[in-house]
Amino acid sequence: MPVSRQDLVDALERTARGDVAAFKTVYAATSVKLYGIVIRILGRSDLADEVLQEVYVRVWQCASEFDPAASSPITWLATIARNRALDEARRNTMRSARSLDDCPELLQVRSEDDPSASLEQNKQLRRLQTCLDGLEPEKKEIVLLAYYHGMTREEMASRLQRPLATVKTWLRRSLAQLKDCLGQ
Amino acid sequence: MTEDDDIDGLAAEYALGSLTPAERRHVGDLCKTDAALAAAIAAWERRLAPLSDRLPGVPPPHDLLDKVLSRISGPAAQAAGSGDVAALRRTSGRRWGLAVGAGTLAACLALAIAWFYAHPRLPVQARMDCSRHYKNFWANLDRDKYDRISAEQLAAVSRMALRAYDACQAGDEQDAKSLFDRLQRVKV
Repeated sequence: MPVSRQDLVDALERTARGDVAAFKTVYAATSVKLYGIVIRILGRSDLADEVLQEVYVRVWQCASEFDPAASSPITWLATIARNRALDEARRNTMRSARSLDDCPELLQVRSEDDPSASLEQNKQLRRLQTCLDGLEPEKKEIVLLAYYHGMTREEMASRLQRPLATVKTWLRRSLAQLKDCLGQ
Repeated sequence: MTEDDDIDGLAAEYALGSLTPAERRHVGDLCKTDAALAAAIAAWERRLAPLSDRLPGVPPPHDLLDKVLSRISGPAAQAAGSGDVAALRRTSGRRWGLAVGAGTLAACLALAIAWFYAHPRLPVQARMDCSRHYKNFWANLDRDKYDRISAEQLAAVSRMALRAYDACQAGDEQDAKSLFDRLQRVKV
């Protein structure tokens, strides 16, 4: 359900005051996005269902922590969802070791602007895309494998058949390169 | 982890999601008292956030919202009075404020509060009684449900209970509490 950034900010503020209707608005506007994030990391719908429930329980309980001056609502929510999914992934070794083979489009950053995103979001995405494209293909792949699928260094070393130390070095250098490129 | 692990590198990998379970727990613990590390994590989360913007969504199960609503209107909320959930939230928030210190940054607080609310019945500093938790789970398992579930389902529950007990015995209380908590909600 398309909801503007300001509408979502307002809904979170009302959620912080215990407004269930506003909470339902937040859920309707963001659950598809957040479920997409957690299920890619966890690879199992039973775990993803449980984690998404916990994410929204946390949103209900801690909506007052959201600071619209610090981040957009969807960035704040996505960060909570990713962290919770990553914690669960590290805790649960039975999650499926998903690869990007079944969704290779995730290795390609969309070049066109997202019409639902703000101008600033599209600008940030284009800047990050340019910086990612500056990495060698294999190094860009490990960054995206970790981000989208929560793969550890060990999992990536196994997938790429590279020594663990090499993958760690690649990751650290790639991230440092990204930071320099982004200039933040 | 080696000594050459710089703060920014750890923060970057924490935000990216590539740390091992032990490293992730370690960094999570460290950032409760290390403001520089917490700030570095928050900065990396902001840098990488645009990657989530382009991720295609996936519709969650239709009944998931109802499950969330039943959890947020559960015993803990009702205990504080049905119309005063916000007050419960403020009270609990203050308890965390005391526990983690006034200067704690958002990245750490998010982790800490998520953990706290996932385990509201357990005192923050209590030492877990592993045997009691494990035996209570089996003692409280409904006999009628036990007769109805498959051996495969029972085996899955058994494995989860054993993992919880093992984690508890190994001193990994966060993991153990999470698993025991999930076991309480398992519909067998």
